[in-house]
Amino acid sequence: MITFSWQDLVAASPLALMALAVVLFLLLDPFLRRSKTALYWAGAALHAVALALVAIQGTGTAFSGAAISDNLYKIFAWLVLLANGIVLVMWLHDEDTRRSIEPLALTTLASVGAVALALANELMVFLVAFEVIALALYTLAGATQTERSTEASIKYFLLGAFTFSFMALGSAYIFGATGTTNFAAIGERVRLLTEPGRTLVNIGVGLVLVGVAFELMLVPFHLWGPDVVHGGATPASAAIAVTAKLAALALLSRFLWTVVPVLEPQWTVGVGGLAVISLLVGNVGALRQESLKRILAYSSISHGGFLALAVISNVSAAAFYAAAYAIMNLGAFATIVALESRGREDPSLDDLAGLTTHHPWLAAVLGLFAASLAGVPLTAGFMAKVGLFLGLWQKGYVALAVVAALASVIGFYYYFRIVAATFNPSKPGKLWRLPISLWVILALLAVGVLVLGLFPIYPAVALTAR
Amino acid sequence: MRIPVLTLLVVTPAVTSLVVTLLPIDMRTARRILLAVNLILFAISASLFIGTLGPWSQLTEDALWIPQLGVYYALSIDGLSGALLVALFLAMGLSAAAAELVQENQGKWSSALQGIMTTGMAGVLLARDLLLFFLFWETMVVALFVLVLAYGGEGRQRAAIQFLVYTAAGSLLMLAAIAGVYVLNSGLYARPLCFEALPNALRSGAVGPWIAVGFLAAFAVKMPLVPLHAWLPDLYRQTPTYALVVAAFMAKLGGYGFLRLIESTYPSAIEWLALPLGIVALAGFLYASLVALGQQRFIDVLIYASIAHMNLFLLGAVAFTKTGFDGAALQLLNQGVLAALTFYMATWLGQRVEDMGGVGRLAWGRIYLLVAILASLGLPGLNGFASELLIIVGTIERWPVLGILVLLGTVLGACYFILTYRRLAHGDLGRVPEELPAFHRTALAIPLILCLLLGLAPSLILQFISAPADLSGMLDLHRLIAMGGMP
Repeated sequence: MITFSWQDLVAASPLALMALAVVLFLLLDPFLRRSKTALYWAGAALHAVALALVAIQGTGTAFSGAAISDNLYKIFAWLVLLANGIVLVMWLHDEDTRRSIEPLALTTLASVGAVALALANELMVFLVAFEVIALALYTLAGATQTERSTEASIKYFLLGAFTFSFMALGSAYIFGATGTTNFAAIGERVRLLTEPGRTLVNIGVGLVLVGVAFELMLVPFHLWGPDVVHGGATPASAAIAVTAKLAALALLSRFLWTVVPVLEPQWTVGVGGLAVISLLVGNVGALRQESLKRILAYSSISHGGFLALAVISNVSAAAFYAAAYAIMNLGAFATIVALESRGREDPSLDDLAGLTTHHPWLAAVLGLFAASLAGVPLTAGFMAKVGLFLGLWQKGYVALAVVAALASVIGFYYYFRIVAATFNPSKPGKLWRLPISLWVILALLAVGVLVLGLFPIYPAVALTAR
Repeated sequence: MRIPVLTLLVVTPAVTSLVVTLLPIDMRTARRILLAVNLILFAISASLFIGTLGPWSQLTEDALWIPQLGVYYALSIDGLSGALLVALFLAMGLSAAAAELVQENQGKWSSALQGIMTTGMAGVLLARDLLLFFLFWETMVVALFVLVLAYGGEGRQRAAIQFLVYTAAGSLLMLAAIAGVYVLNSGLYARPLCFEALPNALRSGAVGPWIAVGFLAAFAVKMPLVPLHAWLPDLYRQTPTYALVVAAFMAKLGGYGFLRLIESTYPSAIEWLALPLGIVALAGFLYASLVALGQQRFIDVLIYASIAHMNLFLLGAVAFTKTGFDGAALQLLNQGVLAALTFYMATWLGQRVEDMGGVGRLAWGRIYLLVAILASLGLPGLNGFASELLIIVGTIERWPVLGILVLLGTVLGACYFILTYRRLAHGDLGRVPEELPAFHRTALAIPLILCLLLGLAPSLILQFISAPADLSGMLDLHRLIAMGGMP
């Protein structure tokens, strides 16, 4: 007989609310014939409510230690909910999909999985949560049903399922060696383990990292990234490049620092190595791209490297980097949605010509987001890099700091190629109007980039798994 | 309540130029207002500069900015930054005046961008916290980048991105170095990133030299030191010439950073780099001079001459002698004034200089051009001479052989400048330019007078410049320690 306490209900309330809403959305679908716009707004409001619920939750564990509500959970749950709320507003401007309800339901489902992943304090919970996000996003990637998006969806699904099996195997190894699935308990037992248990745990951690690296688009598990981000509808790409990564990052931070802190030398080499390769491959790959979405996909690979470096330096830097990453990337994707609202799918650099004369404000925010992605001062991206560099130095990883600095230089080239393209003269085309709601999120994100860039707060993240 | 004078000095260029851009007035009036504002700033900063020896030596502003990192919004003025600030505001004012000479390439936002750039440069000169310094540093870079993209010539995109990538490479290494300073200092100082705490980090055993190299990378790209100079000719050719009047000042800030670094590091962290850097700087000086000799267009000669002069500056700076350091500091100021003056003249003469030879027929234009060129080539009595002499003497004190080679290079400088003057003034009569209008004669009189003043009485200025950077005592002390065999 399973009993639930009051704390369990509080801990699960945001999840339960959103999961119920998903079912409700699907049930309502047949009754709303024409416009589903209202439901999308309801979905966005729901994310705001969930955000508030997360804010008022206390700290502590629930469900007999299977879930943990702490600073790390709160920060990442906020970011995930914020990101997906904005993704829902983006979906409103996607011509093909706003007449259907699936993107709404699937995006909300992805939020459920992502929040659960941040909450997970147990191997089984994390596996299930991981799969919830993944299934939602596999489907979302194919939402537009064009040839490219279907291909993206299948590619994402096949590779995702493949890496998930690695993760499951790794979890089994860890369970086999320690005899428990609870993160805190694993952490205690790993400390006391002797050979051959240590080796078994090492292999298990490595296999789990494969899955996380897949979601973070770390090289060599990145091959799906550019095709999926490029192929899917832009809001889906935003969810895949932002929400999924945030969730994976929350898990990575918790897993490394509470489950296997004693193995730090081993996983530092592993994660740091993947991060460095990702920085190189992502940045070099982005250099010659013409499609904006593809540039962002490669940029997302390199930022995956930065995020991973941030995690191994310290969790506080990682949390700040994640916030900056979410805001500037959502901004960039929202700009692409704005460009697509002219009726041109998959905008390339050439499509940016004349933007400074026709839409100076859109060009300005795009420039701001690009500058932040590159890491120019006064933007969130810069302060995130500062936190990252400081963290790496403090840990003594000077070589990693230098590699990260050099990799950002390459970034300057392709991010500012975007800015340069907006200055190109164009044939006098007809102006197109941007919807107010898109302006609002662009303005909010731009302000966010500037505020975090001027007054950075590196959140204190205390990781105690009790 | 105290008036935050320094903050006002820093933000005024950006604010006024933005306001003037947004106001519904014609561009001519807007530029006149900017000229007036910057001349007022010029006067204020000049009085502050003179005051640095006495009443205003402690003029600082201080506020906690990022508590978690111990980063402060700290501004302060001393002789070196004051002198350069004066030249900077003069350059900005002249740039607004020079823009009246051209009709094309006059975008609405160009003066706003120049204003932001000037704010960035003024901030670099006054900042006393490394992160703040970095922030202003990047502000000026991004402003120039956008300016070139928006109003540059045909090849602007390539030039602008090339400039940005070169600069970013340097500045990110500087950022990594700043992170290093922070980590080394954070336990010891309440303000780990303030300039006063820099020496501690730079002198710390194994890491110190690497931190110095990180800073050096940023400054060397900016100056530019010769193998890293490829961005500069392309960028300057694409930048509108009137904007170059102030944009050329940016290179001097690379030198400024370098002097600050030497101040805080001597001798432990970069002593081992002195001779290699000196040789590279000398080679760069000779190379750029030779290239300048081969140029046909006035603007190209100016571009390579400015590279040559900055490499000469570096030679004086790394000689680590009192004379060399003073010469280097003075060279920065001189080059700041001269760059504004000569690029102003280039704006007047326009781009098509190769088929022009009639300047010699103009009563005023001839005199102005002649003085500008003679000052640039280092004629005694004009400002170029004093600083070059000090640098050469300083170099000879340290490395006699290099000093003699520098002398050779200065002869090259005289050659290409004289040849340029002959071509412009007495060459084939392709096109006689219009006489320099009275307004511009008046505006240009200010830098010309400064050239004379700095040339005739360099010691007047030197006492201010060497005061903050008073290496004499420090250098002798270090030398004594070194000779005594102590580590």
